Amino acid sequence: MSHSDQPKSFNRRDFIGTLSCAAVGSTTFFSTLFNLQSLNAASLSSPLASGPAEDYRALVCIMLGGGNDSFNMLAPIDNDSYQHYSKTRSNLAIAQNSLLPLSPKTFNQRQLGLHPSMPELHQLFNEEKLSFVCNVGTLVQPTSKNDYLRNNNLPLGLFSHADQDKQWQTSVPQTVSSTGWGGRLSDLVYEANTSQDVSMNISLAGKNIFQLGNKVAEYSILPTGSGSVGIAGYDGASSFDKIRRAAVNSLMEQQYQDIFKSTYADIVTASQNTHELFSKAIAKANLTTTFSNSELSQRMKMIARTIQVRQQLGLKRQTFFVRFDGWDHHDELLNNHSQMLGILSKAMSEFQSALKELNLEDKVTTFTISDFARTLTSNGNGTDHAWGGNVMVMGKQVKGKEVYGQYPNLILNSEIELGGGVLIPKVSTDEYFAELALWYGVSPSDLPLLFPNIGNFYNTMSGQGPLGFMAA
Amino acid sequence: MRKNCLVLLFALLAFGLQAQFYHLDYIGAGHDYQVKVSSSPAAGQAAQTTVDGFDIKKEDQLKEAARFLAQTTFGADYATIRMTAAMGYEAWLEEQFSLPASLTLPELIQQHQLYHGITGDGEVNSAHFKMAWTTNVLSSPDQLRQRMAYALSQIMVVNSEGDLFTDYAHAQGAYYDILTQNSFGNYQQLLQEVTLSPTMGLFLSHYGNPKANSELNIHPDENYAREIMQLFSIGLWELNQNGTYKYDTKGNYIPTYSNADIKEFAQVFTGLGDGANNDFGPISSSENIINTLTTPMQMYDSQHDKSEKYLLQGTVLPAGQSGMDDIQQTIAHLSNHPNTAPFMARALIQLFTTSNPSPAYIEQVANAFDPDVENNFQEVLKALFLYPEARSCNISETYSFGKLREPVIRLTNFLKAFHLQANPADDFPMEYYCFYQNVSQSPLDAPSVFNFYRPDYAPQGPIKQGYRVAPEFQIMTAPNTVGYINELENRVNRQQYTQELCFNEEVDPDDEVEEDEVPYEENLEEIRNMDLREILFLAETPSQLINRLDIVLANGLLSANTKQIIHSAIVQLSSPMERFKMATYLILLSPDYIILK
Repeated sequence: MSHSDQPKSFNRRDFIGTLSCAAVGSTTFFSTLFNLQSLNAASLSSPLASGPAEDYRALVCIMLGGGNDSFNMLAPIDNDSYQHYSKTRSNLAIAQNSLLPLSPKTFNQRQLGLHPSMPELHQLFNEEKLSFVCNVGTLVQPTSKNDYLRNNNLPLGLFSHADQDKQWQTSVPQTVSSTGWGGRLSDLVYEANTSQDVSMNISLAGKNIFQLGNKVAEYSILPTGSGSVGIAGYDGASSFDKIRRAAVNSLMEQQYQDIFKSTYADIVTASQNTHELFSKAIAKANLTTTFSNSELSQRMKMIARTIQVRQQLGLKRQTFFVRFDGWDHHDELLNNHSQMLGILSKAMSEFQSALKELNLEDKVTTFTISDFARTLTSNGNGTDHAWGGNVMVMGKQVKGKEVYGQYPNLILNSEIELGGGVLIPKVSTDEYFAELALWYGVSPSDLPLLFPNIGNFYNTMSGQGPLGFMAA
Repeated sequence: MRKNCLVLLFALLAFGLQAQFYHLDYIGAGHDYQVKVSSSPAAGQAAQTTVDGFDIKKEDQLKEAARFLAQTTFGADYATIRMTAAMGYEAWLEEQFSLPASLTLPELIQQHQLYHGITGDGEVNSAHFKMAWTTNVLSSPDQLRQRMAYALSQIMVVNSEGDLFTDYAHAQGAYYDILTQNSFGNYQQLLQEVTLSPTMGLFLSHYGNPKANSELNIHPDENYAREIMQLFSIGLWELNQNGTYKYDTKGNYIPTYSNADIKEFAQVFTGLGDGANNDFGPISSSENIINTLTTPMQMYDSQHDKSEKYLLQGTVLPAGQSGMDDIQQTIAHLSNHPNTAPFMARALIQLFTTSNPSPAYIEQVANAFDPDVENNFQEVLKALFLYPEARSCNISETYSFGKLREPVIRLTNFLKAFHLQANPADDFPMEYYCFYQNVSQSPLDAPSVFNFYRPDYAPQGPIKQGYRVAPEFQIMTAPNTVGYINELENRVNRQQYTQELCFNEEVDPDDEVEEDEVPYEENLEEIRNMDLREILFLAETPSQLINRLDIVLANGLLSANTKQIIHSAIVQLSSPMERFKMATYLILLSPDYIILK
């Protein structure tokens, strides 16, 4: 728990951070990950300025915990499709004339509408800053109804929250992965950051597997105050405080044979050290965009503030993780879902406005994930756990105002329907995430490091993204 | 939202709570005034001490007893530790089994009546539940039962979210009392009562769950069917009696059920509705809602699916049975499934003694498990606490034995260590509200049915690399870890809450304070209300203070190095009170304390 004013040892990571571009480019590690141009641009950036030359990219993952009923978030609106939808969804169908019609630039099989409580995102769609990807889910390989019935290479624990929530974060559905894809992504790129003192992976949702890599883990902050929390009185000037600080340091710096004790001591030390740096940096944030009072909006606001001080933190690549729980609408679906979609719509659009204020709309991409979609059929006044569902991507580098993937026909007994309105996904989480990883700067040949199953869905040497929703 | 909470809680502060601390006299409850202690400290000879006729020979025995009480209670003072050492653990367990249950719902209602009488406001919210819970775990003698109920509340989870539960905390009180009353009973009865609890029914949505209607494409709700199997009884994968996984011929884990099985079980849990009124559901906020929330659900057979149901391992429920027969047979079926014993054994061991029990330990506890035998949990708990792995002080030194103490239990450990005599009236609600906020844990408040942490969680680093798990580390984020340390600062040193330390909100000196807005500040009375006479006397000699605190706070688990560090700190202070505060703060954040070996 050294104080930041004490001399720091000069380590390899510091060294890389101050190298010239040419030297960085000469390491084979980096050349496989980034094009040199972007790293050249990095050295041109100046504090707090975010000119076009700045090399910065962030991915913001919004986990809709519990399983978003995304076939009510994005519903068909043309007469034929709506009839199928309405028959299948029965007493849970949204009125046809209340859906907000979407007119994608490229017509996608059927006409779709957005849930009426999401006017802000409807607007962003029209501004070409938002797109949808349809029927995405956890898959080991392309899977047919026959595969499902024969139990052929299916994800573990389908329909179970604990498993599916995790697998959307790991994208390794055939096993219990110890790392998330955001963590593995960070393992590849973290050394591009000038400083490793504050993790490039910031969580507004506590510990999560998405951001857990082998080298990089999350740093959790709160939406309130300075975000980070420091030990009260640790910097106190009284003799009592000084005695105490020395004793706390000694307790945490002792060598513990016991792995539980050493893990705890390391957490305390890291928490205090990181707080000292983080709180100093965040004090410089002066965002003026207004956010709603919802917890989600407040969390998104803290993310925006953290992004604003990225250079104080020495970060060129960041990931953010935020949870919005409560989507497990087995009951009272219509009211509760509508209310939560409204909160989500506001929070996402406020965040995009903040990025506009920061002039970073083209450097930050936000995407949603969720355990699964829900059964198309009703259980009375709610829905149960299903599989494939619809997701959203937002940002200026998103090729917006489009619907990617195939929005399915919502009839029962179709070739992708497994009973009760459970749909087999047609787009794998691998394809969805690989598109984002490529935009983030991962080279196509490194994709299998992040997504071991990617080869089952996509030729990484094809020269284009798996789904094409990100600008090159 | 937060402002509303504040207004309510401030209102509560004004009325106080008539929590009766130490209202029962019994051995081991913290009373030592009936106890005669004599000693003959001859030089070179271990002191011979007797407590009501029992011999206590060595300090080691006190430490062992303190460790036992750390596993079995919410905390213990010195007198209780001595008494337990003298009694022996089996006798202590038997005494605990014989004590009547201290319930939460009556406590909650009593507190609400005090509050209600003054304001005329009828709302009984989850803050009342937490107050009632805290009062019980701090003051009631049935400590083991309270710990067991708390453990069960982390297996059969409901939380406090949703308008109904927020406005009518009776639902939480009634649910918690099911756990409390069945803590020394048997598993099958417990699972039956949990299943019929309207609180659970509303939380996992089998309340008012109708049978299928194929014309309307309406199928039965699958929520409870899934979670009763995945989380409350058998888990996802087939287990051996010692908790290890079974494998199929290809070397894969064997799932205990499929999605098709879920649909069968979902049919079982149809037809349950309001047990207090003749009203299947959905629930509405009526005059009688408190009765609805505190009365077991009843079966509405016309809404129950009467078809044949295929359960696991070839069990079939015949068509046409009454709904209640279906439910009882399904509960018996799950209770007697070969997975349930090892599943529950592991879960309970992890919540009480160690995150990584050996297969032999799990097997021992699983063997004691017999789901339909009266008072079987007593045998389970005896096996759990008396197993050599749990008791041996040698094995506690091993690499992986032990667990991270839960934040909530760290708080109660501290509060119970020194005769917290006082009526905690003045500040009770807000104090614990802030604590719970800062550590992200409070009773019946897990974010979802998956509890605060998952049983298989392993933090990055040596624990994961060593293929060990450490569930409680899942809530040890930076804010929670430091939040706990700052709670110690609040309670031990400052004895005061401020805006900053309660809500992590800095008070901007430039902010204009509105006229009716009082800057948040709250005095904490705990230290002032503890009986510190003896400990302050000991504090005149630093080593004596540390040795005593090692026993009452850290259960004898402080290493020589840790003691030395604390000693070096407190010898620089002259006031016994300052020494006490410093030592207490340092012990309660030290790794030797935080990890209960």
